[in-house]
Amino acid sequence: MTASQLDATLAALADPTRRAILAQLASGECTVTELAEPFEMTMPAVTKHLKVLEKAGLIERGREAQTRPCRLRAAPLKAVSDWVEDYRQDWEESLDRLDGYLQDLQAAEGGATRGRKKQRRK
Amino acid sequence: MVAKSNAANELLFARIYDAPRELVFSVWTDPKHIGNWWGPKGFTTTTRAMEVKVGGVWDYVMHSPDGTDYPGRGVFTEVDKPNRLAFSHVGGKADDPHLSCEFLVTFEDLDGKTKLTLRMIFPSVEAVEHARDLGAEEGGLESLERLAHFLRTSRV
Repeated sequence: MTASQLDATLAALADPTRRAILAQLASGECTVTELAEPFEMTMPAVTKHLKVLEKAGLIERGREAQTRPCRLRAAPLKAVSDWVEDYRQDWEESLDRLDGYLQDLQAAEGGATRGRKKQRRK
Repeated sequence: MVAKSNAANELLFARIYDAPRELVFSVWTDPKHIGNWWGPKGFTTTTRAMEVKVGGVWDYVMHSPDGTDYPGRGVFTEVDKPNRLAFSHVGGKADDPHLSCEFLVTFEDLDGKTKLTLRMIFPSVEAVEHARDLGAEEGGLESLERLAHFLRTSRV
């Protein structure tokens, strides 16, 4: 996934209504009418959100002329969550490094006073 | 399942360090210490200036393993030694100056050890606008950090 694709995905997901629509679709495909109902929105308003989601590749719509049911596409969501996971991992590593650094500092500045305490994180 | 604004746009970490609270606080606030652990794996960090007081600035450069430099900047919004530290941060693995995140670090004494809690809050609304501005621009990834966090709990 490129940065711009990720951008599009995130921009689409930034709206709470669109996230709610995706959450709804997670439990199975829905028609526009079915989607409009719980959100008390007009059909055009829902359709507008669906277009954004479709453009971002987050949903796909069926061919059936009358209903064109919407389905969730999970791949872009996975890309986003993978990306978040990487970032979180970076920070986990920094905080681990901080642990090692604190141990080194304390060892350097007088193991005598602290004694030989067992180190390592909890 | 749907993100509830603030809870969703933050990342939370908690660690217990076998070190006194003053020391843990100082590795966040002393230029000679922070570069030794800050940043992603393989990166090093050089502090250009650091003034630890409300309104004071931490100005630094992160050096990636491939030789790219990424400037970063923090403005302290709360300095309560050795209990709490907060700063508005911009920068990261890309050099977009508009990307920001609020850091809130608390240090709690646990009988000689220290519980550190790090909360990173990503102001999502700005981020969304910014992501749009960025469009297909290369290096836009960093702007997505904030968004990505914002979305973390809306995974389906």
